[in-house]
Amino acid sequence: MARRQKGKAAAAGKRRAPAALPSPASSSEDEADEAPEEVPFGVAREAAEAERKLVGEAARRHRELLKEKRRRHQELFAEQKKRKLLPEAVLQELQELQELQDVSARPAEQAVADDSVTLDEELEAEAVQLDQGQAESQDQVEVQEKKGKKSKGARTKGNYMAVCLKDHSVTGLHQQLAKDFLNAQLYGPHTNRVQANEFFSLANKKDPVKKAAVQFVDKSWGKDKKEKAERFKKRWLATQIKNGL
Amino acid sequence: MGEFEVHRVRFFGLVPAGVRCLACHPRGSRLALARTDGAVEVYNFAANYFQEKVIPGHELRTVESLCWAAGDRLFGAGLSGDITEYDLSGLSAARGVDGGGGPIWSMVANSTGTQLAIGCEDGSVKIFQVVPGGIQFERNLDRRKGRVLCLSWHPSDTHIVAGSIDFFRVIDVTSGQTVQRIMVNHHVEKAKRECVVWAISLLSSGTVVSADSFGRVQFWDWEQGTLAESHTVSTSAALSLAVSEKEDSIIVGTSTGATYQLQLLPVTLGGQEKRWVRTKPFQFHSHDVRAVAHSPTALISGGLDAQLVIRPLMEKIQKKSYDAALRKFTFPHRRLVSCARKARLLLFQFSQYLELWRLGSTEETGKDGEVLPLCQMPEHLVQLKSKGPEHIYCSCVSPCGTWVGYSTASRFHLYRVHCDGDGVSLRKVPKVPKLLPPAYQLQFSADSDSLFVASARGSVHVFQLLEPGGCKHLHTLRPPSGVEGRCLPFLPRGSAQGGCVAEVSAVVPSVHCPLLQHHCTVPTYNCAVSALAIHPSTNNLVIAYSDQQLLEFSIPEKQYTSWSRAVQSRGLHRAWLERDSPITHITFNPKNPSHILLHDTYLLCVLDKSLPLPDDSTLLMNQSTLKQLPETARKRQLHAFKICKKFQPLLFMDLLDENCLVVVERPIMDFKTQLPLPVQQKKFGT
Repeated sequence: MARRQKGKAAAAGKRRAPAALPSPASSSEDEADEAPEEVPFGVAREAAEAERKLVGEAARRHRELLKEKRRRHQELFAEQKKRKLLPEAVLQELQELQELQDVSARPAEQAVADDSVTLDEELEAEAVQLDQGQAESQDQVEVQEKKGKKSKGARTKGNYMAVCLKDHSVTGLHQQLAKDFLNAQLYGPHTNRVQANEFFSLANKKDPVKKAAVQFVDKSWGKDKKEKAERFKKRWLATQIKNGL
Repeated sequence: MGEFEVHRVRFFGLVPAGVRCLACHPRGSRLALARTDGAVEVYNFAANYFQEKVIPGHELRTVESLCWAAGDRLFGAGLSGDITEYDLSGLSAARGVDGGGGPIWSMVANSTGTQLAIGCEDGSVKIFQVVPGGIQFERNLDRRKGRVLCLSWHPSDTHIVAGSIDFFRVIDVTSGQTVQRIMVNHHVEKAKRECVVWAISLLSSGTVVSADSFGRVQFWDWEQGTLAESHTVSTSAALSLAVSEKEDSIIVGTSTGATYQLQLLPVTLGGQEKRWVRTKPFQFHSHDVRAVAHSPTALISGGLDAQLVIRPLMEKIQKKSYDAALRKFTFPHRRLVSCARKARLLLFQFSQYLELWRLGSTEETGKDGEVLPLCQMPEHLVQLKSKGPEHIYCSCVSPCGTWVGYSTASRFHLYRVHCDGDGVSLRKVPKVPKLLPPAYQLQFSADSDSLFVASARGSVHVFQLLEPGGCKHLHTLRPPSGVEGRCLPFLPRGSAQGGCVAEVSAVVPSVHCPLLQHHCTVPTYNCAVSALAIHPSTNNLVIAYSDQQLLEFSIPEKQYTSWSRAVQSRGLHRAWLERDSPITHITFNPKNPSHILLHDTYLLCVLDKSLPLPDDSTLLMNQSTLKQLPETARKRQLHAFKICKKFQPLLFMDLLDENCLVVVERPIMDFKTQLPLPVQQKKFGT
């Protein structure tokens, strides 16, 4: 497009250039008969250059504008990402923790590294290098491990499921399809099924002496609260016994 | 009589599996039933509908269809794609043959029982030949797209009708070709969903009866391809269909739990033209009725609420007797609970695990009918899961509470239990000798010294239990040679001297007491035995039969006791004989040899042999009246049967010590809420 623009500009320039010169009075018929006008090279060149410069400026400005926009977007994203991450202090703490873990893990790693190295010279050299490089690569390894550990800590929930192949043989699939068909036909959306509580409570409702529903109290209400209370009670009793003793 | 402190146990979380298939034996004497967990049961009509045989299920085995073939052979097929033959004498699932067409939805035998037709998921109908060793593939009939959900042979074995989704087709057996294909929903313009043909039957007149998911029972003329009659019996699906042998009565089971009878009746009295009319509606079940059967005299239905209902047809009953009563069976006719008397522990047997509980205790006393507060709650000690996919056959806990044994179809397991303070630990006993599986019954001796295992072909293995946790096979008792192959061993309780075992088949009970050097045979009786027990001190064998007869046999004297003879000559009370459920457990009071405690599903009874027997004119269940009478009048009206109907439905009852009873109940509403969802019933005003 720039070229076309330039070309256009050049053509426009060319057309204008002759307009700048004193031209004989011309009509469209005359132009067709007459020979083309002579334009001095230098003038034309200057004009073309001027045009190119203008266009170049425009394009550069356009590019600068885009760059500016991109930079601004990049900054914005960086800002948002920073906001998503935990505050600095917490990250620092986590890093320290991981470092400690690495320290405990590293001797084991070193031992492993040492064991796996054979007695060949090259490998000895490598081992030496390893030991030497340990110090350097420690940081890298640390970073890597930390990165790895961080990613483990972030626990990306993968899109996979581990299954036992024996259960997923062809017969198993057929059987599953058959069971699904049966389930859909008997318990599908059109079958007008109802919960057991509702069904069996009808009799209680219609009784001359009205009674409560069969599952009047839902045992799952406040389940975690009840469990917490149980655990607390156990702990409290244990402390009481200990203090009592 | 005395006062008892009753431990009323309602924490046995048994959820019986629903009934999936029913198959009436062609000669009408037995009924085979398959449940949703794969268990197969056989009921004997002659013996008061007693549950004679139980074959426990398997995790991978689902039964979609059962049929009797070649006389007394029982075959089952399921969604795993296998055709299994059930060994009824060995109580196990014997050979399995792969059908070759994917999951099998239905299986029927032809009229002579020589061929089996199966309908598969891929739309094929295959014929198998029943041969003495098993079954053999014969040929494939014409295969069409669409799973074959139901099948029926023509009584003359010339045609087979196969029901599928939205259509059914009639196949000519000799050529194997489909001769007619009828669309079930064709005349309905806007069918929003597909019409599944759940059950189908081909009558000898050439009429095809189909039950579909729109709740319709339709009668088709397959040669013309026309619909003769259509009855909409229900708004929800009609799931099952059974035609009587005379083809004049049909029973239909629906999703709402209602069953309907349709009968072929003449239009005008004495006229020739007959029509099918919906006559009797029944609502016996709360959940889907997926299995129905029609015996010559009764309508039988089984629902997903685990109930088996047998409704005799009045017009077929010749004489008025208790045979005409409606029967409902929910719980099994055998014990699922064992009790360790001294340790006060209960062992509950589920299909794939066992639970060991310790009973609570109370320190207060009270009057008749009072509820005493517990000072110690009942405690769930251990849950022992069985290894492997097979379901548990039988289980037992020793009286001292330190040994627990259970058996599956292939293995027998023994565990040692240690209760120390708060914790309970279970340790498996290593190197348990391998016996010929399966073990039908387990029984520990009263002093927890030996273990009796009743196993295949009537043999009883005696194991000695060693401290700290081992067991050694002592010897094996075998029945007398004439009885082999038909024995279903039963082990009675109360073998105090460590050596009394009894074996019972349906025909010949025989008693071996090798350590007492006795070997005698109880006279034959034509009914199945439902419970047996041997008194620890008097060595009298008490037998309860499935027709509610009670007999007492003295082992030392090798003859019936005088009390038993008196009972037989007098005859038992009519109310006693007209009970619905069999006696499942007999136990004794060690301090009082004349007391026998028994229970069935709806009552528990303390039998006092020293008191006079009631005759038909007196009231059998007279405990409530006796309580109101003064002392002198009471003495005149006392009789031997002291019955309590307060605890229902009973799964187990035992005497813990002199004044303490434990009863295990399972209220029906407790498990009904755990069954699959029922269909909504709209009632006015709710």
